[in-house]
Amino acid sequence: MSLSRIFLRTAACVAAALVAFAAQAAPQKVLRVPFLIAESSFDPAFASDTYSYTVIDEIFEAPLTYDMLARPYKLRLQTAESMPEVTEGGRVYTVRLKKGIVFADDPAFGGARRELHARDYEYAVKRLIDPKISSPNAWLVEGRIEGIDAAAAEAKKADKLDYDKPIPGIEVLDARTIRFRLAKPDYNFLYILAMTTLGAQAREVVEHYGTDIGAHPVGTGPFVLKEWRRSSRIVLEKNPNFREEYYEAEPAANDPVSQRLYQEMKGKRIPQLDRVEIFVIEESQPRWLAFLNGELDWVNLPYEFKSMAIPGGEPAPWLAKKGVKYLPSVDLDLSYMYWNMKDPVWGGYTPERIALRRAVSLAYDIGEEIHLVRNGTAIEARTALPPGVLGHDPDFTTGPAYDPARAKALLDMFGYVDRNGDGWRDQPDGSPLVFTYSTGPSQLERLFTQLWKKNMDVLGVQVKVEVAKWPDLRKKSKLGQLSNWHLAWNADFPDGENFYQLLYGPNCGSSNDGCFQLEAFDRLYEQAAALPPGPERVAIYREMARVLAVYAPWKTFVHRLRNQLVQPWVLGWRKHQFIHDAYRYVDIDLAVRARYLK
Amino acid sequence: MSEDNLLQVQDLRVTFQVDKHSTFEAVKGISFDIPVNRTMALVGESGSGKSVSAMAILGLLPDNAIIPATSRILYGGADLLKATPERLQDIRGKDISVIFQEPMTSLNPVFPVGEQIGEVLRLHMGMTPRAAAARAVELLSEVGIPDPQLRVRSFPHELSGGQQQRVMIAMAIACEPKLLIADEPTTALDVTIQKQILELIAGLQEKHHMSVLFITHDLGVVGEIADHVVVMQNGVVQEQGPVRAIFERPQHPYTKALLECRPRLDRRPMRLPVIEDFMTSGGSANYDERPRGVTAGDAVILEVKSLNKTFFLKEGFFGKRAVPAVKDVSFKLARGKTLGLVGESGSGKTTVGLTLMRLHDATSGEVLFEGRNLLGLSDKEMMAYRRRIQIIFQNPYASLNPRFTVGNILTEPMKIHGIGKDQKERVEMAFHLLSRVGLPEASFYKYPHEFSGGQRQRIAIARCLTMKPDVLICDESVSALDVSVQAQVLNLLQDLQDEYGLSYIFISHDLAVVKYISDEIMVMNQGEIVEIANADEIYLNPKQDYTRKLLASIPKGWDANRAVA
Amino acid sequence: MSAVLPDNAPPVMHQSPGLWTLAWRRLLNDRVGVFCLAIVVAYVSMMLASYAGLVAGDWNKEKGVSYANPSFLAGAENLEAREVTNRDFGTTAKPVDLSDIDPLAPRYKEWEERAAKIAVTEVKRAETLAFGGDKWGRDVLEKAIKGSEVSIFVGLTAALFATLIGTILGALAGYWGGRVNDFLEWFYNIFTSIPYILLILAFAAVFKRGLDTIIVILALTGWTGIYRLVRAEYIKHGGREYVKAAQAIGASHFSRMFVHILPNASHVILVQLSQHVVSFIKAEVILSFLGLGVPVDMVSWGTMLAEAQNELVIGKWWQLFAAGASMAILVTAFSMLTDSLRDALDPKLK
Repeated sequence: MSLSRIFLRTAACVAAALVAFAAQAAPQKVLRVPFLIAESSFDPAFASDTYSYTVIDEIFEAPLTYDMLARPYKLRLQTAESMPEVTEGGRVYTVRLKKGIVFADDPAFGGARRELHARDYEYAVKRLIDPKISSPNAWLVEGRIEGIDAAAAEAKKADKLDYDKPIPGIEVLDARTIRFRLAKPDYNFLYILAMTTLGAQAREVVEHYGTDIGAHPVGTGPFVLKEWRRSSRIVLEKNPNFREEYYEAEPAANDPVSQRLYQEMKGKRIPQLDRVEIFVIEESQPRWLAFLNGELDWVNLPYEFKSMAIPGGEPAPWLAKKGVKYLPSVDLDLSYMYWNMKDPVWGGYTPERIALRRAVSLAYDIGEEIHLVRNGTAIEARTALPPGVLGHDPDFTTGPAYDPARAKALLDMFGYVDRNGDGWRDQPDGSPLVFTYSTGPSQLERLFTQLWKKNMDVLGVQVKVEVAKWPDLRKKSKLGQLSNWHLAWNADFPDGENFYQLLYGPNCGSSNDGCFQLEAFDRLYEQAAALPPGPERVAIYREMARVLAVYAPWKTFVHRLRNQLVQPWVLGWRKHQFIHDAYRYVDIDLAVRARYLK
Repeated sequence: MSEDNLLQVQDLRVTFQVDKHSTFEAVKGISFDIPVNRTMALVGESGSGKSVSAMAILGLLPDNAIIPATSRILYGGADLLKATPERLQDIRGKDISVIFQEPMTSLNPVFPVGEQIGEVLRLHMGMTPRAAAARAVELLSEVGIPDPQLRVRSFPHELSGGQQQRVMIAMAIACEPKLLIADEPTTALDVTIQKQILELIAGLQEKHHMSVLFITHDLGVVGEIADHVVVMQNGVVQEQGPVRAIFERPQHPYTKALLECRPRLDRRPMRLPVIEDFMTSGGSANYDERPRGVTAGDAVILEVKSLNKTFFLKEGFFGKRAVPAVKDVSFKLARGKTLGLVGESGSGKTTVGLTLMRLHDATSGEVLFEGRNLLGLSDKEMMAYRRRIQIIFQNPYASLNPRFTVGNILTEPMKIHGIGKDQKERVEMAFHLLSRVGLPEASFYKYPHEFSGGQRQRIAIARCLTMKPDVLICDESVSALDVSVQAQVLNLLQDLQDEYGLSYIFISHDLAVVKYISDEIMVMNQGEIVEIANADEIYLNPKQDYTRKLLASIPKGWDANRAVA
Repeated sequence: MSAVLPDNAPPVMHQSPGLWTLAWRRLLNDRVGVFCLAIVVAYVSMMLASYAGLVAGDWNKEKGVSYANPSFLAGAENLEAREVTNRDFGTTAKPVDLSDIDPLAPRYKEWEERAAKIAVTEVKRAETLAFGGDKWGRDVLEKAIKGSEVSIFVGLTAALFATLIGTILGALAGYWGGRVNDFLEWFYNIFTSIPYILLILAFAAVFKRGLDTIIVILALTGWTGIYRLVRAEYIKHGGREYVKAAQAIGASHFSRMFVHILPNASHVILVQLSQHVVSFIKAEVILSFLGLGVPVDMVSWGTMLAEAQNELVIGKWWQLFAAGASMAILVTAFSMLTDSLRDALDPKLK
């Protein structure tokens, strides 16, 4: 072969390789986002934390979901063909599934294409009562679905669940129909059907991976898990088996932001993104700096930097020049402190104890917490329910939340005065009165501790600080060993019941850590559950708020504000409370990105 | 003395800058000449400035030494004091070389001796390493080291003291110097080895026609080897001249005193003459003879039976090597008498002393003190006997706690043994003892570092006396002292024995001193007793060969018949 | 003729200058040493004054606005303080009436009357403070002074204890040798083979929070260096003749160890002590920085530095500077003083 021929052939090969390479490297739409706290597991039955669920939401699908833009929050169909048929006064729900939905590919399927079957939902529910998993989400179905409690008790005794034994309340009618029969009428069950905890799971996959199922989530959703470096990096990629779906939403007419987002995404096929890269960055500074560098596509502004980024509530000029979009919102959450009602000093339902707890509530300067510690990134929570949740009453108030004079007066009145001359108030019977504050060692928690100490000093109550790591405190809390503790609760669905279940008597031992058991409250709770959502239910919720104001089993602190900052090339996105990050509704304008990042 | 002078020292003054404010004049203007091919002795006690003068010749003084421009050291037509560092470097080791007192610290412990000798050769003679190694072997055999081919690769610590000194000498003569400065080269050696080294130096001096500047405090040595003598005291030359003149017709009182203060083998005066006797009153001490000896009828205060002490050294991982230091030693100590214990280093004499005190644990044997076996007593019982048998150590600079005042040192034993009913009484007793040993009462408040070696030894003696002991072990107690101070301390010891009836065990390697102070003498060699006899007997009629060898090694001093150049 | 040295003057009964007096004189000649000594003394007196309440007694009072500027930056903007002033977020709605279900209802009137009688003082907050304010508006300078109390106290006490432990163990190991030495060496090896920070964290997790805990932790982890040195000194001195002489006169083991040898090793121990004071002050700062240090109602330089982490990003540098500078000056002065002490105590005593 002559030299020129060799040269030509080599050149052709090189050219082909280059073309192939170039074709392969067609610009991918990659979204890069941060997590504040590390995930735990991607098994819907095992995980219960927000961050794990942010990823689970993209992989698994419940029958229903929420509209991305509608406010107030509105349910929408996901794998269900139509809204479930509710019969027998809210006791029976019949769900029909769409045709042609398939699971993502997985070796557990043996190379075959796996279609969604109704029994996949039955399986998901059953996993919640499996004693080997000990799911923290069991409360979603316990007491709700007929026969589930009996099955759970039986499984617990035998220390294993017989998955083949049918449960009376769950009926698989055919490949695409499933019927749920509830123990009592419950109008909130629709919301349960929108939670990804009930997302369809394939039994063969779970059995194939055994205890490692948390690392191998396989669902019908728009993304699959590509890479997982624990507590560091999660990578999702578009699920090639995902069905053909197009963007649909109902933006509110009077909300310009929603309108804009709708225009950005209208008619596009979802998901638009090829890849999502999630980075766990616990420290706020590196997170913020990465966002400013363009390495992250959105960030919830850490409150330390609030003054320099959005002074006076508007983006600073230097931030506006970067094209960053500012999307403020109120999270549907509540930051609160529960009192252990069984505590010998602080618990109880007598007037003295009520007075004691209400006095401490009045002595806490919520204003300083909001402005000094949280840097203005929260609003006062006057009741347990945040705005946006059914039952929230914007006019409900018991007067100023911080009133040290009234607090002191209350304690004086009921005999909590200094009896032994050491400068601290004591109990009416003379024994010492000590407020034990349990917290963690971080710098932020130290600030809260300082605030409590300051306020209690003014009130004249001695404070003992106990520092321990969060998992240890959680263990103690579940065992009822703490006299009080502060927690936060994120709404799972936009109804007051989701918050009030934390104070429901029978939930003492599962979610009711303070063990508040008031008959009047429990009765109201059950009444509300039996009514469909509406003004009657709202009236009952208001009544429950009054009861809580009187008996003070909780001190409610704040609802957190979200100051979401989004890069100019991110389209279609705002934070949704229930469908979390909703990567399927996000798009990236690569041209804009190139322009800003050059 | 009409030969040429190799080196001339003219009006040498050396002052040391001690700290920011004070100076110390070590050498106050001395002059002497070193002739060619002769041995010159520089004699003096410690502090006389003899070493400083010698070091000045080679520019080996520390940085804080100040020499005025008027001082000159002439060598080869130039003034060494004004020479450049390169010139001095050139001279050192080649033209003028030094051997020091402590060979162990003068040799570098991490290099084999052959290399160290070779260094001198390579540096000054420009030899190749191979040639230097060969020459090193030659030198080693010249200085009398057996198996020089093997020894050339040894490290210094593998050689004995005498052999190390020979290596030093080999290094010094390697380049055939014109002047060899020997700074107390034999002081740290045993007397038999000393004899050999002195002979070696004398032989080398003759063979290589070099001059030797021999610095020493031992007049016996001077008498044996020197041609000329310079006597120094306190930085000043008191007398100098040919050796015959110095020994036969000393002019200066100090010279006379030096000659007389040493205990002699042929005389035993009641008290040793001391320097003061000569400096103040021109001499005349009590020259009556003191009789000494032990008879069968003398009461025995201490009896030692078959004392054994073996040291066990770790060897390898699990091995133990037994080193017997004292082998089956038995003797009796008579009350009020002195038993001299003589031997070379390694003979076990110090170990005997320490074992008697139970400062070492004996391997076997008995020590009967007034009939009771001390080695078998419990610690508590032993306490009662501790005060009755005491020890004075060799090194006066180390045996007193530098952080204690003299008062503390003296009152501590009293407190321990409950002597004196209160502190006031104890202080009184301390004052009394201080004056008894010849120190001012004000010493009570001072610290040991403010005293000289002799004074410290007196304090140590006073410490022992606080307990009113019966037996006193003197472990080389005067060996580290100058001749005159030594005489004072020996006199003190004798006075105390006369007054209090103390019994002494006097351990030393210095035969002349031992003969002076002892009634009975015990010779030890390698842990065994060679001979025990009355002092006079042993010197007149030594029965064992080793004893004879030991006696023959003592420097005899000046012999009128010695051939002197 | 007697052997008495001629000295006919009446005895002058004055105490000779001992080691310490001589060392003191040498130290005084060292200009750098004196300067550093002055600084250290100043700090210690500041600490004592603070302890007695003479200064910085009300460090905890919130005198200024949040992140008040230092007086030399009086004109600068303070965005944070401006944000806080808006505290009105109450609703205009009427308070809900709870009297029908409230057990406290019968005493409402009494409650209002009592409350009205209790006076609530509104504190006027300053715009600027001498060296600036922290997040709560506390005076940074006063915090730094008060913080010195904790840091220096912890440093000194922990160093004293560590020295005590190290000296005693080192004396035992060096003097007795043999099995005692083997055991103590093994013990020492365990302590030094565990990384220092891990050891501290392990202790911190077990013991309760508090100042004494920190002191105990630092003492128990810091004795090893002193042990090594004291042991070496005892091995060296144990073979010296004056110890044998003490044995000969019947001094007990205890007397030999602590009355005879210890004074001869004391210069080493003193230098170690001051070195450890420095390193323990630093260690306390690190502990407080990690959140394992002093409790909430006390301030130390470490807590100030921890707070300063987040403040620096928003441009509030004065707390970091105050704590950092205080610590840096003290540590440097103390270290240099240690050097001078070592020179002064050099025992070239003959």
